Formats: sequence, structure tokens, C-alpha cells
Amino acid sequence: MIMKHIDCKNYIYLDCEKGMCALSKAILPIDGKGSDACPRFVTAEKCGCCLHFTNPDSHNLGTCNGFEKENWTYASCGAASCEHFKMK
Amino acid sequence: MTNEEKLNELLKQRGINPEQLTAITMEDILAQAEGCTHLMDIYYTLKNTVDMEYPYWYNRVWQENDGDITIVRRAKAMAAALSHMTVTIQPYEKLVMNKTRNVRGAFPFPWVTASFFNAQAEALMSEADAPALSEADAVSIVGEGGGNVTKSYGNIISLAKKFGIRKEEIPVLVEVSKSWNGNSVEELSNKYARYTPGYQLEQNIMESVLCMFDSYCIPQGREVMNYYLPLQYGWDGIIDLCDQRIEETMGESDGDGILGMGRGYYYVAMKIIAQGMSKWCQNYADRAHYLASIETDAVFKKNYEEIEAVMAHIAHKAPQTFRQALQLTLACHYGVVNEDPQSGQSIGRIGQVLQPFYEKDIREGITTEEEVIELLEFYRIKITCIECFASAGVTGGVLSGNTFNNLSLGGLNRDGLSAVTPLEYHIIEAGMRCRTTQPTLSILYDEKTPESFLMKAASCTKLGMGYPAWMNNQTGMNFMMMNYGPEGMNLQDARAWCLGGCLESSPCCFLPLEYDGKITWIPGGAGPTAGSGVHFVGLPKVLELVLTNGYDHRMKRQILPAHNRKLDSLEAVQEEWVNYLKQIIDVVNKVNNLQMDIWRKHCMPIVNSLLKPDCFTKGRDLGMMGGRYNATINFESCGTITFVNALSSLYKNVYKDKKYTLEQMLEAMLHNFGFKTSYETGVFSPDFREATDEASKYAQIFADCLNAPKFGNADWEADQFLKWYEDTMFGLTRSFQSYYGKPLYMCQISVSTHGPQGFVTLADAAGRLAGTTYSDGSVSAAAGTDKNGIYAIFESATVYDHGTQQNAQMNLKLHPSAVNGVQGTRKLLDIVRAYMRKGGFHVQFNIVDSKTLRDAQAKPENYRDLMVRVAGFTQYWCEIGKPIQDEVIYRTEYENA
Amino acid sequence: MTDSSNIQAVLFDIQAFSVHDGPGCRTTVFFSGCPLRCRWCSNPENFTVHPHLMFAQRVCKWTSGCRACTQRCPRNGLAFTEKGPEVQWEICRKCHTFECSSACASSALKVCGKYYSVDELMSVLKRDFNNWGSEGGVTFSGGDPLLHAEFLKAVLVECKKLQIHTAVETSACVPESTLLDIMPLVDFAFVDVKNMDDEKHKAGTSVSNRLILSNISALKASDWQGRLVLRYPVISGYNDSEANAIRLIDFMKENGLFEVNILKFHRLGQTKWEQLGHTYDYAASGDVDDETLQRLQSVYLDHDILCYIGDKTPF
Repeated sequence: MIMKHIDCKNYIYLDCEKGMCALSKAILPIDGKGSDACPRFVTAEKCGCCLHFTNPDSHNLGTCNGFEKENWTYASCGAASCEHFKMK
Repeated sequence: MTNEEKLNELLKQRGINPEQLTAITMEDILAQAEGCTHLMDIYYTLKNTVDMEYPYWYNRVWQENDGDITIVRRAKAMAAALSHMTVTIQPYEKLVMNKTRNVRGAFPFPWVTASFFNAQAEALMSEADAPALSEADAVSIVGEGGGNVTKSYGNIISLAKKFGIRKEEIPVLVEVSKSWNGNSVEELSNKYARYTPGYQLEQNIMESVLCMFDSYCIPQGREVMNYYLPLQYGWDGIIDLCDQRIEETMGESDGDGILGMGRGYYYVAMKIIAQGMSKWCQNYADRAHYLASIETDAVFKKNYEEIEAVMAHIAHKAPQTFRQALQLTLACHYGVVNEDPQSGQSIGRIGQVLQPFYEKDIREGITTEEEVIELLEFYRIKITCIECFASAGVTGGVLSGNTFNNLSLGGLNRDGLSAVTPLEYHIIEAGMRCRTTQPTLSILYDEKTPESFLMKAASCTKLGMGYPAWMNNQTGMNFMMMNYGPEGMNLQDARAWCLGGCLESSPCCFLPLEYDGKITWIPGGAGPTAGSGVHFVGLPKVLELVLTNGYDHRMKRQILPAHNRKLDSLEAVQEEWVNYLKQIIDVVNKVNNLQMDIWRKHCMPIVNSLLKPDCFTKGRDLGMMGGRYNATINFESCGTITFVNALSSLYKNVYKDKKYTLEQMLEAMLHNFGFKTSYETGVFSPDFREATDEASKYAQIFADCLNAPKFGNADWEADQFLKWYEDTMFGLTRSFQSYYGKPLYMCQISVSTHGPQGFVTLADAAGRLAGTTYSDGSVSAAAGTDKNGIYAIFESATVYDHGTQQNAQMNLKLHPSAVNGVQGTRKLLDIVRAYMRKGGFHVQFNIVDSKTLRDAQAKPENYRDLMVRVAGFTQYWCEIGKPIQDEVIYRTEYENA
Repeated sequence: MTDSSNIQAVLFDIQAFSVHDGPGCRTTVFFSGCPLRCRWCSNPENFTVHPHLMFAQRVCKWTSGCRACTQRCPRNGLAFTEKGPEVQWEICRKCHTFECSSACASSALKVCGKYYSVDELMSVLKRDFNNWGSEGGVTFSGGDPLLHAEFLKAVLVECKKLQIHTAVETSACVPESTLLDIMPLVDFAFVDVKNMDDEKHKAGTSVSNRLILSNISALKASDWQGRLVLRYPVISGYNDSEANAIRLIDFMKENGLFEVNILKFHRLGQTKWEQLGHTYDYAASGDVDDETLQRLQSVYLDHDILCYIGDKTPF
């Protein structure tokens, strides 16, 4: 699977169509040409790559069992600040 | 020797002050900090973006705590939402934090209003599931519409024609909204509104756009922030205080059988939110730490390390430097604007609040004045990035996209002396160097305000960005005493007032900040929103319905009950107008009271209930009148001068000169004086007319209507109707009560509603054609009708005491050449002073020539940074809709006809 | 009531927040009627002393079918052809009733000039007095206010009673006795010297400059304490020469004058000539560039004369 800039820990969110690379300071598109990650890619903490994330459906809504109470979540939700995040 | 030097030399010899010749030109103003330029270059390319992290976490934790005490449940939900969002720090930033992970980010609040998303769920899902629009469309064109995402493209879906949301988040939006189906504030209040007598009438009124706003849409804002508690105690100190108060109050009613027991829950909630705020700040420290760890550039690395130090400190302790203090106020501001859809959450008199920190740092050599100005420039960018996602109509239509985070300067301190601080000069300087739409600046003009400060402010106004606007401090204080005196406001608290929102005078108080070995009494907000209630009643439309016996010819429906009165005198017209207005306020007020009551019970302010005095002292949230002053809810008018001019013409042409019968007048109005209506032509500019075959039939009556006396010419024949109106409204509004059990009063700013409400109004007796915008402001002359100059407008505007209402709005345009040079600055100040001396409450200026505006309309890409003053705020030209653009051009150029 | 309550004058405008006609913020009162006929005049509507008609075709709504004026005019003064509306100036210049203007909803047909009594004007000035600030006051301009000496004096007397700062802009092309009678009530004056060469002065303004220059000398020789600034619009090929400046400098030195304000020629009055049914001689000529103005300024400065360009003045 080809990783995207937006899934990189060094990606800085700007808006719905682009972000910035913390290393190169370049503007990075989320979609289309130029959106594929570079070799320096580091996986960003998101629900989608958490050990506690299971059973994603076609829209990438899945189950989070990292907390006391199980609940649904979505893969692209940021989890860098989540107390129970565990990288897959 | 240059000519200028020679001239100055000769002037000196003649004993004439040569300084008067030296013009401050744009070139003399220092450029903004380099970092700001980088940030603004990016800002100009940014799209308003909605993402779901905050709503997701709010919803999850709210649902998981089903059954808990509401205020605690909400605090938990909000704390979880704040502390789980992805943190964004951009290179070059010195001040950090955002509403969301996106720089111009926002999010929907389904717990406030969910019906739209639920009704549209299927359509949204199928849009999300559709393949991306062509790759070429993946990035939109910068310039047109600025940051507004007016239509869907690529993987981005447009919401409210303003925000973009990524397709992968649509299922999350739909899923979260589902939980609120039937129990959002909107739907609950709709449910109970049906029990109000006159509910059908209220529905008619809203459908006909006689009134055009629901209070729950933006239940907070139009108020002033208060930063005292965190500045004094820090989050850890507040948590300790909460523990103490929990121990003191839990299980104790303390003589109050209704609210006493609630105090314990309140302090538990406050502890939770303080912990959430602390964690949120700490997350920024952690992210800065990571960014510093991967950064190879020494300058960027040091910058991240500084950010980490500041954020780690303010995550726990009270600030010890100016930078920490400023950053902490930003954290509070973002915390508050994230708890409800909000506009007009005002910063208040921050140059006075932060002066002790500034003073100590400068004295001890910790920072320099230039560094402080630089931070204040960064601050402007942070505030400019605050976006609000309310419902589509409110976000675009009412607010024109601005969130009105107003910063006030000047006024008086607690001792009644000028409150101006050295830091406030730097705030203006930062506004001159770093030209952003927010925060807009407001000068509280007082006769005690130092001339040097006023000149500094005037030289900023002159630059044409639309700020600062000028408010009359004494008039504002008079209003405070009049409106909040019954709640015990004294002169000292009255002196603390300032603007919430663009022009909403808000009650404030002074609190004793202990810092740097002394006590400084710092001003800050002390009440809830001063801008909800019966909002935006189109006064000219009410008059139209009086003349049509309650029948709306546009909707072809009876809207108000027929009065069936023979209108044989102007007094009869006025009486029926008052009767109609009473009926409107009565039913609309009841529904809005319900909306706000349900909001305060289900979605009470949390961060704001921590910050606003005297909530923490009383142990009571802001919704339950924890604030010191609560008579804040009001009635908001639209189209004052359009209405006054229509009355004036009716009086002149029908009742005084008896040149036409009322039937003839009405017939001409219904036939739009023989012109095609805007609905037919699609053009809404006030000066566009296309004749029909009937034009000649109405030519004379049309001319007589246009030539009838108009407000703004120092002509009592017209101005008397403004006086009558204001005197009438004073008592009328106060005869209704808000959900706080306090009388309403009048707020007179139209924001952007003069467009849509003008749209629904037929031609009027003053010759305004159907569908065209109302006059803006409340005391500005209708465009093209002031023939006797500015001084005559001032005379007309001050025929009543502006201190009787929350505000009065005066927009003036000046050609840049009128205020050239230092002499021009003084003359600008002269004109402000002239109006203030008459008791005028507010005046703001557009100093730009219409040629520039026309060019900007044709080539928006060349004018990404052009700003204009619209209603009570400054906005990027390219981000305002075309009808308002047209109106601004019309207002700016008619004089050159 | 003043003694002179029955005196009237025709004013064609009263402009509030006037910032380039003297110190501070001012109200400028424009009198109708002028002894000069400058071919570049930016206020040609003041040539006529009586109220008269102006027609602004640009704002006329004839294209949308409006014919309200023709229906009201009892003299057939207005006609519409396929090219648009036509004012029959030979008829309309004689009109005193102006029915058409009250029928016009677009302000295309306007009456220029209105009779004011001293009291009427004073009530406007008293109102505006609240707005000027400490520096400002009233400026009487025109046209030439000194053509209405009796009225002007009565107003000035009232102004002085109220301690209002007064200024005039005049051609000084009036009898010396009139000038010396009025000026003691005036604090500040602009006098135009359009050209030092008499023939050229006549060619451009239709009058000789001799009376003007002798009046200035007489004023300076009197015990008048006010401030006098000479002024002229710099027009290419007419008065933009260094030689003209040198002659003016000599004249100023002889008379103890040290301030001159040179203005860049502009064409703002052009449409007004057309609205009055006249042709404008300077439609395509007369422009000066900034370098010319600076060159002239430096000539004055080198001779110790304070020369201000445009609105860059120390007042």
C-alpha cells in the first residue's frame, strides 16, 4: 500500500486540500499528483493504525476497544493525543 | 537639499511647525514580521475546513456518560474533545493553538442543530461515495471567494457554501448527527415552541423573513472574554480551587433551596474542564517537542523549543511573562469559541489586562518593544483564523463570514482615569503593520483619552482597513448604568464596559490581578451573550404590512392578522406599526426564550462559565445567571433609516401635502413605481432601474417620493421620525422579558441582514424599489440621500440620546485624499471628535475609492488582501458576497455622480 | 434676527468637512457669480449669479423609458431623440421655475444655486460650528464671495460675534474699497494670481490682472493682520514657466508676501461644462506633471518663498 503525506507524522495539517511537510516545509497536496509519501515517512498516530481499532466497514468506521467502554471510531481520526493509542 | 528639506527649513524660520507637513505614508510603516508574512502567504491560500475530531469526541464521551448530571457530562465531553484533537503547529508561528487541526478550521455542533445533516444524510453519503471529481479539480483556484469553499470539488464537499469537508469524514458527520436526531437544541425548542400561544404567527413571521434569526444558532458570543482566573491562578491553581470549593459546597444548600445544591456539580464540572484545558495546552507542548526533535534548522528548532516551554508552563502554572500571558488568553479564547457556534466572542481590553506582564518584561529586559509588537502581529493572525460553522443561513447570510472577535482600547480605568496603556499603542502598531481582518479594533473614545493615543488610532483608521472604529465611552457608560443599574451596576463597573461582537456594548467588571508585586484592576466581561433574543426584525417590512393590512404581496399570503383600520392619519399608521411590532416581539420572544432556555439546560457554557465573574464565586454556570449582569438579551432591528424615510415620505406626500391618497401610494408601491422588480431583473443594486410600460404612469409620484425629506440632512421634517421611533422603542422593548426575567432593550446593528430583509420587502414610500437592500447601520443616511454633508448627518443622527440603547451605528466613507498627511490625521480625529461631542455612539470609516473596489471586483486575484468595512466589521473583499460588494461600491461612489 | 435680514445671496453649494480650503476642518460656502471667466474653471456653474439648470446626462434614466421631465415642462425645454435627451439651452437658460427638476427622480436635472438670507446661512454655520474643532472655521469661496460684499459682510460680522475663524477664496478682482472693507473681518485669505503677464491673464480669464495685483498691494499696505496665501492652478503652456514664477516672486517680495500654494490642474469640472451646455476648452490640454510642479516649487523655495503643492500645506 502506498502511503500518503497526510498519514505521516511530519505532516502539518493546513486545510481540506493540503498540508505542509515539517521537514522540507513544502506544501503537500492531500489528493492526486504529489500526494504520495516520501522515504522519510513516519506513520502518524491515527485510530486506523491503532491496535484497538477493529472491524472497519467500507467507510472506515470501526470499533475502538481501547477504553473502558467500547465505541465506534473512524480510521482518519487523529490519535496522537489519545491516552490509549497503541501503534499496530 | 530636497524641496521638502528646504521647505521645512523655511517653515522653521517663519516659526511654522514643519512637522505638520511630514505625512506618515504607507512606506513609513514598518513591514510586518517576516514570520507573519510567511504565515499570511499561506493563510491567503487556505480553505475554510470542517473536520470531525471535536464532534466525534464530544459525542462519544457525552453518550458514554448518559445519565450523569448534565453540567458534568457536558464538561467531560468538552474536555475530551479539546484534549483529543490533533495539534497543528506551523513553522514560523510564535503563538500557537487553533480551533481544530486545520488553520481555518471549524466543525458542526450537532447537539445544537442536527436536523440539516439528518435530513441530508442520504444525499451527503451518496456524494461521499461518488468517485472524486476530476483530478484537475483537486485544488481550487485561489482568489475567487478567498477561503470560501463555495462548491464541491475533488474529494472535498462544500458545506454552507463556505466550508470544505473531506469525503472520508462525511460518514462520521452522518453518524454523529444521528445521535442527536430529535434532541438537539434546535429540535427540542421546536418541540416546545409549538405550545407557545401565537406559534403559527411566529412561523409566518419567520417564513416571511419579517424576522430572520433563531437564537440557538449562535447562543454565545456578542460578549466579552474574561481572562482573570487563569492569569491569576493557572490551570493547576484553578483545579486546586475547585477541590476546595467542592469540599465546601458538596451537599450544602447554603440557604438556597433551588440553586444551592448545584454548586457542587458546578465545581466538579469546572475541575474537569480545567484539566481538559490543561491537557490541550500540554498537547501543544508535546507536539512542539516532537517538531523540535526532527528539526535540523537551528532557528526553527529554537522556535519550537520556545513554544514547548511556553505551552508546558501555561498548561499548569499562572503565566510569568508577557508571552505566556498572551498565549494563555488565546488558549481561553479558543476554548470558549469551541463550545458553541459563536460569533462576536470579543477579546475586550486586552492591552490593559496584559499591561502588568508587559511592563515587568520590559523593565527586566526579558523582552523588547519590537518583540512585543511582533507577538501582537502573530496574535492578529491567530484571531483572523477563527471561523464559525453555524447553519448555512447564519454563517453566510447573517454574519457574512466574519466572527467579530473585537478588541477594545482606551476608555477609563476603575479610578475614572484614562485607561490607555503603553501596550495599547503597540496593539495599534501591530494592526498597522500586520493587516488582517481580525481582531477588529475599537477605540473607546473619552475626553480623557490622551491625544497622542487618539492620533495613533486615527493614523491607523486612515490606512483604510476599516479599523479602528470609534465608540463613545461616556455614551456606553450611560447605557451600562441605565440598563444594568437595576442589577446593581455601579460607576466603577460601568467604566469596565466594552464592545462584545461588532457593536454590542457588554457589561464588564474589574478584578484585582496580583502580579509583579502589586494589584492591577483588570477589566473583563461579566455577563452572558448580549446579542441573542428577538433578532433582526425588518422595520420597513412591518410598515409594508401595516399598509397592506397584514397581507404579504410577495408570498401572496396573510402574514399578520388584518388590523382593518382606516389609515386616515400618519398617527394611525404609526399606531398600527407599533401594534404589529408588539405582536411580532411577543411571539418571537417566547420562542427565542424557549430556545435559549433549552440551550442553557442542555448545552450550558462550560469554559465560559469558569471564566465569567461571578460564576466561580457563586458556583453557578452562566446559563443559570452565574454572571454578574444578566439583562443582556435584546431586540435587534434592521433597516431603521429605510423605515424613517418611508414614514417621512408618507407624511409629506399623503398626510401633510395630501398630494396622493394612501391608495394611490400603495398602488404605486405594489407596481414598484413602474419598474421591473429585482426579482425579475436579478440585479439588486439600489441604483439600477429598468422601466416597464407603466413607468410614465408613476413617474411623478416616484419623483415626489424620492424628493420627500430624507434622514441625514439636518431636516427635522424627516429626523423627527427617528426621534419618535427611538423614544417609542425605548419603552416598547423594555416591556418584554428575556428568559432571564430581565427587560429587553434595543440593539441596532444589521450585520448583513439588510440584504436578505431588503430582498423580501416591496418598494416603499421613500422610493426604494422592491428587493433592494435596506440602508445599513442604524443612523447612516441611505446611500445618495444625504445632500448636506457629514455635519448634517451628525445633526440628524443625534436627535435622540444614543445612551438609551446598546448601540447606534454610523458608517462613513471618506476619499483617501481627504485625510492625507498628518494634517489629514488631525482632521479625521476632528470629525470623530465632532460626532462624539454630540453623543454619537459609534462611527466607522471606509477610506477607499470606488475605482479600487470596482477593479477588485473584476480582478479578485489581484486583491486577495484588500479589506473593507462592512457592517460592524472588517472583511476581505473577496470573501463577501456580490450583493454586499455592490452595495459597498454604491455607497462609496454615489457622491461622484 | 440681524439688521440685514432682507439681504440675500445665491449660493451654489455649502460643503461640510472641507479640508483643503484653509486651516483645520471647515465648512466652505460657495457663492454664485465670478468676475473672471477662466477657461479651465472647475466650477463653471458659478458663472451665473441666478439659480439655473444643470443636466447630467450620465445619470438620466431615459434609456429605461423615463420621460417625466418633458411631461412637466411647460416650455418644451426638453426633447428626446434617438440619441437621448436634449436640453434646449436657449429656452432653459431663461427659466426660473424649473418644473422639470422636481419631476426628475434621478437628479439628472438639478437646479444650481439657491437664495439664502443671512439668517439662513448663519443657522447652517452655527450648526457646523459644533464640528470644526479648534483649528477650523468657515471659508467663503465661489465664484467670488466678494461679489456679494453686502451679504458677505453681514455674515462675517455675525461670524466674528461668535468668534468663528473666517477665510475667503477670492479673485480680488473687485473695487479696492470693497476689499478693504471686508478683509478686517477675515482671518485667512487665498487670492489667485493666475498669470503675471497681463495679456495672458486676459486671454485665460477674460480680465486684466492689474486690479488684482494692486488690490493685493493695497491689502498688504493696510493694517490687516490676517494670513494671505497666493494660489494658482498650474496649467501647461499657460502659467507653468519659471519666468512667470520669478515675476510673482518679485511681486511677493515687494509686498511682504511669503506663501504660495500651487495646484495641479485637474479636469473635474469638465462634466459640469457639459451639463451647462457649454464646451470645455481644456478637454485635452493643460496637464502638468509632478516634475513641473516640483521644479516650480524649487524656484520659489530658492527665493525664500514658502511654496506648497496641492493639499500638502501646513494648515
